[in-house]
Amino acid sequence: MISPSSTRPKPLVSSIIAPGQTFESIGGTIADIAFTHPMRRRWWVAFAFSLALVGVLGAALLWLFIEGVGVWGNNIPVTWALDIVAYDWWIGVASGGLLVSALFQLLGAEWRSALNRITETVSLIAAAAAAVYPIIHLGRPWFFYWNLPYPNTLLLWPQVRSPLFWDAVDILSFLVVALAFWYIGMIPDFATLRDRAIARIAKKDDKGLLRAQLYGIVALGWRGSALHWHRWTQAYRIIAMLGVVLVVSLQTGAAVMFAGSVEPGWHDTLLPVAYLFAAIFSGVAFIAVATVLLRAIFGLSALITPRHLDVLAKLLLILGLLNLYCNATEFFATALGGDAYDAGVMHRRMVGSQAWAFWTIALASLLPVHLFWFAAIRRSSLALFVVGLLVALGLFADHFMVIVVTLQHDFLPSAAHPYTTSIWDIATFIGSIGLFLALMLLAMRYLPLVSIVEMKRLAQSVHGRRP
Amino acid sequence: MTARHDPQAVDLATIRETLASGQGPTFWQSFDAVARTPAFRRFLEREYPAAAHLAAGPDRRGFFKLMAASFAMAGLAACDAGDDGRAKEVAYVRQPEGLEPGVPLSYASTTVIDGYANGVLVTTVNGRPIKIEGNPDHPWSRGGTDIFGQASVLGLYDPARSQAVRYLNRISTWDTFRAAMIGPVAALRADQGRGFRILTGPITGPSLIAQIQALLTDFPQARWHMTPPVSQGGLAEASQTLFGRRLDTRWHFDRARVVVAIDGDFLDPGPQQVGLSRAWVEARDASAGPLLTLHALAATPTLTSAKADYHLAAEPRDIAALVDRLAAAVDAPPTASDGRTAQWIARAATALRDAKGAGLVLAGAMQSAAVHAAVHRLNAALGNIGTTVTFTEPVLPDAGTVDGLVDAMAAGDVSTLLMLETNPVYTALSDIGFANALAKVTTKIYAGLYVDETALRCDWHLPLTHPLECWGDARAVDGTASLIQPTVKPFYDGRSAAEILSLLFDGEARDGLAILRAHWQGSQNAATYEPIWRTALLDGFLPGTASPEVSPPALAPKSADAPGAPLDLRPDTVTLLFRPDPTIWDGSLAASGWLQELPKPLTKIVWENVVAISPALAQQHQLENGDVVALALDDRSLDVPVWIVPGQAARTMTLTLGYGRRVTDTIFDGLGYDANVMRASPSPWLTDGVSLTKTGRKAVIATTQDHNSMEGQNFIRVARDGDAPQRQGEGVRPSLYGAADKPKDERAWGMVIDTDRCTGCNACVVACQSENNIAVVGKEQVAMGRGMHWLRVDRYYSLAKTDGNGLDDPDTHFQPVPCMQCELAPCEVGCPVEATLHDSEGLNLMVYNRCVGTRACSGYCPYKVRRFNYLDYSGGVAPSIQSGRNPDVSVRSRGVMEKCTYCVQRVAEARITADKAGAPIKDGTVQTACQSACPTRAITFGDLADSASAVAAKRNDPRNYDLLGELNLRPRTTYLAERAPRLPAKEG
Repeated sequence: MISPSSTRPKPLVSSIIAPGQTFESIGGTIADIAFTHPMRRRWWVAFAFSLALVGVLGAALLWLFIEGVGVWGNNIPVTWALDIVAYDWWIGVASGGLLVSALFQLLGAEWRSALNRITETVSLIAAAAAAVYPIIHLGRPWFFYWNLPYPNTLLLWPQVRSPLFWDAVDILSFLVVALAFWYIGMIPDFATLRDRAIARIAKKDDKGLLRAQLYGIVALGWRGSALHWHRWTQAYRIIAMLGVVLVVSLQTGAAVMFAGSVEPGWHDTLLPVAYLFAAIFSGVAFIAVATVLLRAIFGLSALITPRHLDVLAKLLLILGLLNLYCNATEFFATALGGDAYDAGVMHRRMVGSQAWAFWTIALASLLPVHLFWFAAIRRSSLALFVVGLLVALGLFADHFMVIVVTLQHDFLPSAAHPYTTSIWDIATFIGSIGLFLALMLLAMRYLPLVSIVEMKRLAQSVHGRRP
Repeated sequence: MTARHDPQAVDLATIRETLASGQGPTFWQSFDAVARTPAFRRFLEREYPAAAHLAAGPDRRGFFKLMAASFAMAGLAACDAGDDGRAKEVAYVRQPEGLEPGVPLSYASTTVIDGYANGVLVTTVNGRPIKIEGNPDHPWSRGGTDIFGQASVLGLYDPARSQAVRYLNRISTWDTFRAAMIGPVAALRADQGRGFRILTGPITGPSLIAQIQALLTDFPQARWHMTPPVSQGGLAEASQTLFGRRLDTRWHFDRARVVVAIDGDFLDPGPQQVGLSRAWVEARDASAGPLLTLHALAATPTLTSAKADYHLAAEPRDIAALVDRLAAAVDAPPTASDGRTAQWIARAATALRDAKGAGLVLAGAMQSAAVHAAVHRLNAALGNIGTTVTFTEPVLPDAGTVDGLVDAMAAGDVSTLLMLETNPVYTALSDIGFANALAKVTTKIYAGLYVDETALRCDWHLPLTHPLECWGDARAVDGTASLIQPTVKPFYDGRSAAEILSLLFDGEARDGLAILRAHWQGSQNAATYEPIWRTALLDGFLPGTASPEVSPPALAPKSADAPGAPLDLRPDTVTLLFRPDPTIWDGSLAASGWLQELPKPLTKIVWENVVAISPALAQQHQLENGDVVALALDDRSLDVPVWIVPGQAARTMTLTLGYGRRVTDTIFDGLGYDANVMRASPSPWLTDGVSLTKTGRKAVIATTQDHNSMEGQNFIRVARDGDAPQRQGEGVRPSLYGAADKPKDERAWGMVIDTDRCTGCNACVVACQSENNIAVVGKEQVAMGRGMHWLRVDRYYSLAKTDGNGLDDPDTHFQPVPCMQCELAPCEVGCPVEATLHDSEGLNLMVYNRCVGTRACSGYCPYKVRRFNYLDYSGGVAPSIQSGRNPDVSVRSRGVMEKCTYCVQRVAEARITADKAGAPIKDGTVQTACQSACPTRAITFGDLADSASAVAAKRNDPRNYDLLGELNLRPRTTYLAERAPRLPAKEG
């Protein structure tokens, strides 16, 4: 663990920050993004596009609320379809991001410093995109709060055996913890931004008094005293620990939403583990994509080095292997288990009418990561970007397979019915992507997307003193 | 448009010529001037029947007068409170005696299908009939009902029903009608009724028949024609040919030890279904020793062939020869064996020979006179006549045929035609040209429930009252005269057929009750008849009115030119069979949303018809389900999608009636394909030599069951006759939750469904829909997988029962699947808001107003019996339909899950009654809707904790098993295995 007072040289980490970076240069590079808004036009184009997608989400939700969830393609037996697929996918991304960031924060992995803000931001915004679904997928969304324990005159509490109740608790906790983790980590940075904004006003090259005030408010009066640092470190680490526990709880909980039933293909003790690994996998894939993009857009190659890319690629490779293990175990357990219904589900997953989902998992998420056995490819931002996208896509297919393909045909063949996606399912999902992009773009513009304080600490530990 | 040449047709060109030639008026301001020419009048009548009266009517000035009056009247109409059915209601200022708000009252009445009666009890709440139940006292239906009876309650509330008298398709009144008819009726009377014809649908009601016959006495030159019941097919003709007179055949399953059905239809929809399926099932259940085996030979799969123990698919043209072979095999067992056909014949022949005098061979109504004759001879030779087969006087009265009417109309011999309860323009065979002949009739009066094809071609359309709102009578298939009692004041301005006849021909129009009472009272004293009449009304029928048995008639000698070699048909053609539709019958019930959305028992298709095709033929033509084929024969052709039906004879296709109609503003407009296009006399049920071409188009067909096979599982189990009784169920296994879910109360509701008794008739499904306010969602929603039926009847094909022949002729099984009410219900684990939970008596309840719609319960349900209101299915329906809903059952809003709750409202009612009385609920007090509707009593419901209950006894039957028992969910609904005869030793 690195603390601001640590002065021990760390030669091994010299590859994770470019040489010659000083406190001044780090702060300047990052804060300038927030102050000067580089690439103003391109940002606006991207933001307008994202807002248009948010508009699509708005239209889809409006129609949904007017007509009911019947505007989607869900039916009996496929009561959960793209709604829960998208939810599980987003929350998987969020969980993966948070877990990686929190775990490496606790383990003191130095290389995380450049990535943690991106990771936490992706995680929080993905959680926001996910949080749309648990409410809107309800038949009567205006009663969503019945799912929560609140005092009422009927003395009715949620049904605590239901995984759905715990999922609601999990996602609410997740939002709180992810927000706290992200925000607490940013407080010193906000202070830097505040100070720099004031300095800019003093130099008369900026008249951003309002900005200085806003950053001042969110910096919560941070002065950088030893006591502040002490408490900050404690709070940050406690939240990180909470985050780790919560991610495990959320993902296993989401898996128990399926495993807790008696349905073939769902009723499986391995499912919680598989869900957790899949979530981290998708989270890291998303982070990889976002990192490569931000690095390219804002020219952050001095702060995000090929070493970072290498670490992300290795993570993807390990997670790919873990996911392969889960898939293979499920395959063998089903094939050798002798349950005809389970075997039927597996058969339909692999060669049924929607076998594309299975093969997308295999070809997009499990296979391409093996490129990362080669060091040169690990350091290629293009390879990381493409593989990251493929993995994210493959894990979407994974959720689709687990939920939709399984539900279409369970025990009684008489009750089986195919599922077809409606335009409104797709519009809602595309809208949630728009929501993610729009929030991400706002964060990119107004927030320090690489942690200033962490980078400074990193530089200090590299140089063994204040550079 | 018809292409037939009309000798009187004059086209516009002639009129143009008249005008151009100067023979017409030189100056003409309006068509009046030209219209005076008879040619133009004819043209106008032919092309614009509705406008013809304008030409004949007042002049321009008069027209404006009429219009002014019309506008004034239209203004008056606006003063009405609207057409929501409330305008005629009168609030109960003083409580009528015997009526408590919210307390159901039951009236014995009769539902009519195809002219025949089924005795029912009509449940009314707050004066509204809301549910049909079986009448257990009725000698024919004995408490059972059919889909048609169950659905009739929806027909009553149908806002699309004809609501007013129409003259030339404009709203008119009864007074206008009567006034307009006084002159013509007087003229007819003076002329002894020459040129006057009555055409009715099938009528069995003694009072109506008497009324018509009295009318024919008054008008000796008048004639009565009747469209024959669809369910009778060729029976009347066969009987006439065989015995020289019409006789009804009675089958006595209880005296039989083996039944051989030649294209039999006694279990299929129709007036015979309720009575005969009950009789057959009871005989099968009661059969001591070997099972009462059913051998069936069928060209197209029916419910009868589906329930058969030994079934054989045979080409329709081979059936007569096969019966001859069967007869020969009974005399001399054949030695050679050439596969399934010979095996089937040998087995049936052996069984018949072994059960002489107790065998029963029967033939379906659609079979030819030759087949009926062969069957009759076989029964006679086996000594079955008089024991298992008897004869009674016919229920149907004698009346002229539709062909005779068309001939008379075409010849111009008909001046006035009165049509009652029939829609001949749609139902008459296309080649006899009913519609064209009808155009030659001067005065066309049509009384019907709907403004349909015939109504649009008539001068006068009179709205009939629905059977639930008028007096009347009808005979059941066994002849029992059953009374139709109104259960509500007529919603609209309709009259019954009897009242219309009275209005037309009686000096003073009598009401339905007076006509009915007068008929049955006859010459008896009113005071002494009163108690008899009251009892009859309470019972719903007149006891002892079943048709009298007649001694077995002498059989006409076998004609020399008996069917010879089967027709030599071109190999590229097929035989097209026609059958009444299993849900909407001949189209007369097409307006019922419940029946339209009811899955056809074998194909599970909803909202339309398709042509059934055998797997072999489909393979030969490379056809898949939904592929549109062009059927053609001579000048007849029809494009229709195919549906592959196992058990269909290889070279035979089957199309059901009742679809392909074009009547605007109806729910059936444009649904399905019109079978009548391909039908022709003299063989209305079969067309040979139809060519089949693949068009390459594909139609979207909505079906509720895509998968036919049990996929290697034993959802349906078979208990073989003679095998040692072997418990089918797994017994109770431990659960993680231990004894926590044991019923805390002394009651434990449970249900046992006997799959051997289930004939797949669907009565339970409609009864459930009616009882539980289940929404109709339409074809698109069903195709998406959002049908709302709480109870479905699964249909599987297998080779489990006997010796089915793969895909071509497999065994068919039916399995009604309601909610299993699992004791360890997985759905309850899923619900986060406790909207679905157990009550103390073991019911798995749905609390609709607590449901937020997560749908987790459905995902968790291994039986997938839960239904979700994806859209607002119930909110937007017509107010009149809303008023027919069961007030004891919540109407579910959008976004709410729903499912079977064992009719919890009935359980609750019984509990309240029992609690008030301080007595336990007696076994049999609570009947679920599906249970009470079932004609074969396949469903038993009651308290499992009561060891003396019927349901507990059924649970102890060795045939009892749990569906998906391996999941250990402890379902409260269990099944009894189907029974099958002992498999014979393989023939060498």
